[in-house]
Amino acid sequence: MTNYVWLIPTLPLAGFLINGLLGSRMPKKVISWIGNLTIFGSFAFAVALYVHMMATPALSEEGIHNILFPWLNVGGFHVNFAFLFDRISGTMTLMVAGVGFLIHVYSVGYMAEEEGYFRYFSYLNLFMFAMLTLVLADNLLLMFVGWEGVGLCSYLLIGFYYTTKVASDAGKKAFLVNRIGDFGFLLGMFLLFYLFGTLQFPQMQEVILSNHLAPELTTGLITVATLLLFVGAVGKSAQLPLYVWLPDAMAGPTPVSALIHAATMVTSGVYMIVRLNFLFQLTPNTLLIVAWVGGITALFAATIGTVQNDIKKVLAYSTISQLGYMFLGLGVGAFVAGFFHIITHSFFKALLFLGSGSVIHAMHHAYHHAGVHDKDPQDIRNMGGLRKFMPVTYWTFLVATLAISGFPIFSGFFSKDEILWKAFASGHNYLWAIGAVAALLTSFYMFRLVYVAFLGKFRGAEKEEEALHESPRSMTIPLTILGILAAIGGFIGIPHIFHLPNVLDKVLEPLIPAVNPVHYLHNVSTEWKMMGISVAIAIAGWLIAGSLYRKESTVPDKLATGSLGYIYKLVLNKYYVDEIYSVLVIRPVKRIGDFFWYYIDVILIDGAVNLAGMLATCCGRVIGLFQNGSVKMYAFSMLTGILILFWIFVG
Amino acid sequence: MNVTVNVTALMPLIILFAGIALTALMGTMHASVKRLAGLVGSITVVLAFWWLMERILPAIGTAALESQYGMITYSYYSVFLSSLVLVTAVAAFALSEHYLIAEDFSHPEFYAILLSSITGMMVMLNTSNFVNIFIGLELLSIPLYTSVAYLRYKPESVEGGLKYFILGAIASGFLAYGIAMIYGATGTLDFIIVGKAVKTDSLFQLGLLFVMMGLAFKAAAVPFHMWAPDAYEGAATPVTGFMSIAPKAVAIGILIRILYLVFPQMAGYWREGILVLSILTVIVGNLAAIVQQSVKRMLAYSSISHAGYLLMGIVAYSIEGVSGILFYLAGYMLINTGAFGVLSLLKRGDVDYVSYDDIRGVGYRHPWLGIFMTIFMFSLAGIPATVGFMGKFYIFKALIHADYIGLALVGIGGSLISVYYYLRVVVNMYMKENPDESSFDLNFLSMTVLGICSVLVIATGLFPAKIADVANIAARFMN
Amino acid sequence: MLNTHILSIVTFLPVLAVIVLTMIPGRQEKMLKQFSIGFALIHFLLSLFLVFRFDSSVYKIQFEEVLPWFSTRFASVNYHIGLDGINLWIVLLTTFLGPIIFLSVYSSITKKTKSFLINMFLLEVGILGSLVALNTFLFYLFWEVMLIPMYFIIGVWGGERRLYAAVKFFIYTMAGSLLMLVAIIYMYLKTGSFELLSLYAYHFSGAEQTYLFAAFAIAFAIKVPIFPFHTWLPDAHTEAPTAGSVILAGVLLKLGTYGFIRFAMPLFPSAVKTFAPYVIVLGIVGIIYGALVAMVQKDVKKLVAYSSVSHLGYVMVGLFALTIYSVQGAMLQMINHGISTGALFLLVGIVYERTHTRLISDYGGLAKVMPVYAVIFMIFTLSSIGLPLTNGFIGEFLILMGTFKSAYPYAFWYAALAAVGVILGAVYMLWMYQRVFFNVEPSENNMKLKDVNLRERIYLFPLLIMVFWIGLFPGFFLHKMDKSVEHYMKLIQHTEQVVVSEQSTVQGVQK
Repeated sequence: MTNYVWLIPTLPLAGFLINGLLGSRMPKKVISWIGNLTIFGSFAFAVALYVHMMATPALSEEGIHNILFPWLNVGGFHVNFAFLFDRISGTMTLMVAGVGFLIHVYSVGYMAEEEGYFRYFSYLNLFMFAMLTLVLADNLLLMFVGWEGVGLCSYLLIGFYYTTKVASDAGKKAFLVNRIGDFGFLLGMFLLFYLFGTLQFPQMQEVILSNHLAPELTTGLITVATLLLFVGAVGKSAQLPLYVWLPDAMAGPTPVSALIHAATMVTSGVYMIVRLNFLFQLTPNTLLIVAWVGGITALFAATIGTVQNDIKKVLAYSTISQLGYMFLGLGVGAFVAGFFHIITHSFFKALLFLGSGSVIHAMHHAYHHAGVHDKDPQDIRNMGGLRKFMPVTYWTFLVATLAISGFPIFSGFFSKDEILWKAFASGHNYLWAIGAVAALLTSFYMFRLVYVAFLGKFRGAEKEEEALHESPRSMTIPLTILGILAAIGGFIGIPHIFHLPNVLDKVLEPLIPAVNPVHYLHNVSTEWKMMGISVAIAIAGWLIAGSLYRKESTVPDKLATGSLGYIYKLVLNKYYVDEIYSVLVIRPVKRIGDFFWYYIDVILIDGAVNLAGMLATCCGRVIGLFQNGSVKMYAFSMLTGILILFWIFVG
Repeated sequence: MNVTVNVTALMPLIILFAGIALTALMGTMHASVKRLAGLVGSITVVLAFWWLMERILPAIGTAALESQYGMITYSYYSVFLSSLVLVTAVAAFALSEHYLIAEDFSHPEFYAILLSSITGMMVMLNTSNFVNIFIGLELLSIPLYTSVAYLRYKPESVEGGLKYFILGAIASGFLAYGIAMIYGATGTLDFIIVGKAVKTDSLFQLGLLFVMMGLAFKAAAVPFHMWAPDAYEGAATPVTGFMSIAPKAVAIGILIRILYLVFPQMAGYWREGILVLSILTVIVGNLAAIVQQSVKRMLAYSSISHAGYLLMGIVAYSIEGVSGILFYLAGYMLINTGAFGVLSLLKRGDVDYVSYDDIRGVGYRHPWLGIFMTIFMFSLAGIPATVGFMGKFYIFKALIHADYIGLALVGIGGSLISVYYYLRVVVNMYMKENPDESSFDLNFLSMTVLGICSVLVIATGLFPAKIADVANIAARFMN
Repeated sequence: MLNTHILSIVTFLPVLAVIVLTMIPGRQEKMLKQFSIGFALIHFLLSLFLVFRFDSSVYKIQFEEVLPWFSTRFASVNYHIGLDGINLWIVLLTTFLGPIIFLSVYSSITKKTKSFLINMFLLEVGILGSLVALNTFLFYLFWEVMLIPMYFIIGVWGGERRLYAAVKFFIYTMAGSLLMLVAIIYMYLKTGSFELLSLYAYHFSGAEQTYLFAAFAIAFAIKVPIFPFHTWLPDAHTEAPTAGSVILAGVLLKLGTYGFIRFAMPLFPSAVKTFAPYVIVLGIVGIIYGALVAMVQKDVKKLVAYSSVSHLGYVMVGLFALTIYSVQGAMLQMINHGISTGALFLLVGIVYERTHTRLISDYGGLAKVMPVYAVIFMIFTLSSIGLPLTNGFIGEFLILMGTFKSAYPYAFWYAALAAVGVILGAVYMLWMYQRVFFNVEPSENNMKLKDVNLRERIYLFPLLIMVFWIGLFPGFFLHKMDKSVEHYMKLIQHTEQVVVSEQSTVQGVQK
């Protein structure tokens, strides 16, 4: 059993190959069965493996190490195709495969009418393969394989509707921005190999624990290495300044957004740092930077989220902001908390996206039914009162909203509060403040969504209204399951003050030793206080949203057009970041390319080459002038010849 | 004193004279006989060649075969060049046959004229006395003038011949003058004795200068080359081929012999002089060739540039250099005979189709002709696996060995330029469409000659050892 | 026979094909083509023999053949060929591409087929010859002869500006190789030998090394091509027929890089020491410059051509970084480039045959009408931008890591700058891919396009296999090179001999 870890990623790969090669000739039913079963297979196997691992002490210490074959052996560089299934990767695998499976199921309904059905499912399976490889890799290089693999799949899936420019642009953008991050990741790897002589996690940890630190380690090199890796994380997990691809990525099908751009792929940056916590814990400076980048991103994205009208855009920015939280957590040394938030977030954010998907699905049908083509099914201003048409969607959506806003006992509450508390406790008061404000905004824009989209009355035409209906079961069942998880999922990591067992801590404890606990010696009462505050924040956000959007109120418009209108415009246009990038980066690069090609290649180099040719020709013509047929000229040239010789002889 | 006549030594000349007389006489005879003139001419040449190989070569040892007090001297060196000339002549005859018939202007006199020119070359090559040099030169040149102007109904032919004659006369004058000065300085005209007379006075210098100039003219070295393009273009194509090889070989050969044997003590001067001439020749020849519109004229300039490479070999002033030159000449003979041979076939009636535009698409209309021409062109350009490359290789090697790397680079620059215009021929033959699809009538004899040439070009390019060794021996026994 | 002369047989077998072809009448197009395909296939299978018999446990030359070719008083030359880890895979790549190319020719060449095929086979002889030659004279011979068929292929079967491209190609290359000729002659005069292996043992003085290295380097730099000697490449590539571009990109360019590792570097170690930083910088410039220029091309073929400039920049950096990783990576990258870029040219050719345009703007949305084609194209695109699990990644990774670990003072920055190419590579390839396959609904005349047919699938398939084989199990390929690469590293880093070399030059003069 322990020698078959490779099955977990390979099953989806098989699914990809079958669907990819034969899908075009297979009925949709078969395709979806293959797609779903393979994922379910790896999920089931992962569960079994997990149980087995926790049961056997030896394994639970070391983790299950499964070497497939040696991959790259050059000089002193050895990398195997090997998987490591331990407490961290195991837990992550459960989440990825589990949520992944649910979203596969959901897709069956959502994509039912799409052409390129087999393409969709084969891509999705390929993604699962890449993601699971990323998670289970036992060395950085193999992780990088998954790392780029998921990038590729996100590229393919974002551009699923490839005949529209928007989609293919978004896909390309995602890939390229990620490449910028990968560039850092690569260099980081080189540096680490240079320092450690290996890229395998256990061995690297060995080197550190056994204090065989090369002298370089004491110098800043390790900080540089970790920073470079962080660049990779920033790209993959859409943090400032590389977050720009994620909002555009919403051009892909909604389940894709749920799976890749909410639950799994975007968290792999966080996961990587958790995986390498033993490394990052050595570098306080890097951690500080991580924390601040995370914090600022969290706030920044949240502000944008408050004014977007595209339901998916709101969720996208919220994702960015939540990822910011995770980094904030890691940055202040709360690795477990960060990891915890990955999991809870994957539940409620996946749920939110699937919910929005269900809504869009419905709206789409409505417009289709009404023969409307100019309306955007994703614009919340066209919705309203959906609650009575699609109850399941509504309730699950509400649960997720409560979770993300951090209402007590809902999953998000525990993880987010943990992060904020650790931030405060470890003395990063500013970061805590930022996080708190972001939390307020979060609960505000989420409730805004709920009010505008689900409550009130439908803002569309009659004809549209009569077509509105709840989504098929294959979609609602995953919603329900995720709803339950989003509600109770937080109990795996209950804070100590409740004096209940904190499962997650226990699980990860051996791999993620709590950083110098001295910091956390704040007394319990403070922790209670802080908790109270964050609950208050959540409620505040809700109330504000309520007051503004419960009824058709004019206040928002007033704000938008009022004296502070320019701020509204600024935020609405996402601070013009994309525009700035295109002016500062994209256009200049293209111009340079043109310049090089035209001025250096065509004019300078080829010009010189052709000039040489022309020069020769001209000389030839000049010589030709003397060959004018007159004997006098000929004799004269003979004379000059003699004179030349004479001059040589005399001189 | 009693003069012993060494018949063995004189025999080649006698044969040739006989040939001249015979062919000249045939002019007066019946048409059916006239037709055989070419054959007779060729037989004469072959006979002379045979005699050279069978009777004279064995008689030569490390010491040259002398007779008539060195008036006639055979050395390995001179025999090598002589045989070169004779072979060229046979090829030229073979090619002329078809050409002249096409022109409808085939007269036995043509062969008589060429034969006498050949005789002149033999005289000039196989002597170690300045008197014979001069006599030989005249005997070589005057028939050549006439043969250029042979197609008398063609203005360009007559014009070329006349120019050649006028300028040639000047050159001969200088040569005679130079010889006189040498005599004045040393009191003898025998190479060996002059060579022993260690003199550096200005009279002697001037003598050397004029002799050099006279021979440089025949070799068409810049700036004494002006006659060449016009003469080459005017002459009947086979004759052009012959002219671009034999007289050049003779002039260069004699020049080497005189400079190395007679003026070793002045090496400092003439090496510099030849150096300058060679550079000029290579550069001017190649540059001028680029802009030509007629392949024939292009080849005329190209042959000038090749004279430049030969002169470079002289500058090296080493056995290696000389054998390099001899090898180069041998190869050059094959190539140019071939190249002009191909041109001589591109003709309908008395019209030559030798401009770049005329040869468009020839490669497809006459595949073999195309292949032959391609081989010759790449060989002239000095692409490996052809004799042209080996020749350049030897000469450049000799130069580098003599620490003339700079000069070698000039030569290389030249051959790089040359690639352009040689390729242009191939481009036109294969890569351009020609509205006129009509073909030329090829004659078997000529094609065989071309075939042999191109095979030899490749063969000697791949396995140069045989000829290289012979050239080497020849180079080592000059006097 | 097969054991002792296998290498000669493999090298000169195409000559047999030429002879047979000349006998088949030119009208029999089908027969000519089918024969060529079959023959090339046999040729490839025969060359596999070399791999099976190859002993990767030693660095020494294998399948060696030495026999005197010609010797005169002034020059004696041997016919000396052999195989080792350095040229094994390039030779195999050449024979491997053979059948593929002839399959692609089946439809793409319609006029003067016979002479085209003959030229192709002759070209193969030239390439193989210069790859296996271990005698500088012999090498030069093949090196030059190779130009002629390529020149015809471009000039006769090429596109609009084919004459310009062909002549430019010929003269550009000739310019470099003539300098090399001078260097070869000089070395011969110094050492009295054209034998490469014995030349390795001879140590030229510092100044000599500088000039000789320069002469060789320029010749090879033009072939590679290294910036700024690259401008012949785009023209040659765009004008050449598909088959021509494939062999040009696939093998011909490698001869430049191969020349560096086989000749320029081991012969003149101390010069390498001095020049390496400059070459690396030029390589990096090539990587970035090539990528930026490729980005703005409007012609697909030109774009791929410029991408070659960028890719071969990596190889140069890898070779001159002189670490076991980077050199191995570079050696592998040569093969990778041959496969992926070759494939890209084939793919461009496929669509060109159907549309007779190479302008990116004329395409768009092709993924809809030619799905299979789109997928294959995507795979090779990914391999060319070095996505993990494809061959491209292994090469780039090793090169960059090796450069990073190299001993140069600015190693980190070399690696970092070179790695920028990883980003830019993705930029131009994906942008091109987007504009060709995505973005819009295909236009009506593109709507009619047929997807890749069986024949095309057949010749693309092996290339696909190679992409993943090298990507997943590079060991098989790297292992065969290990020993030789180590040996050459030793030769190249033998700079301490330079101190001795002054005396050894004196001896050289004496003998």
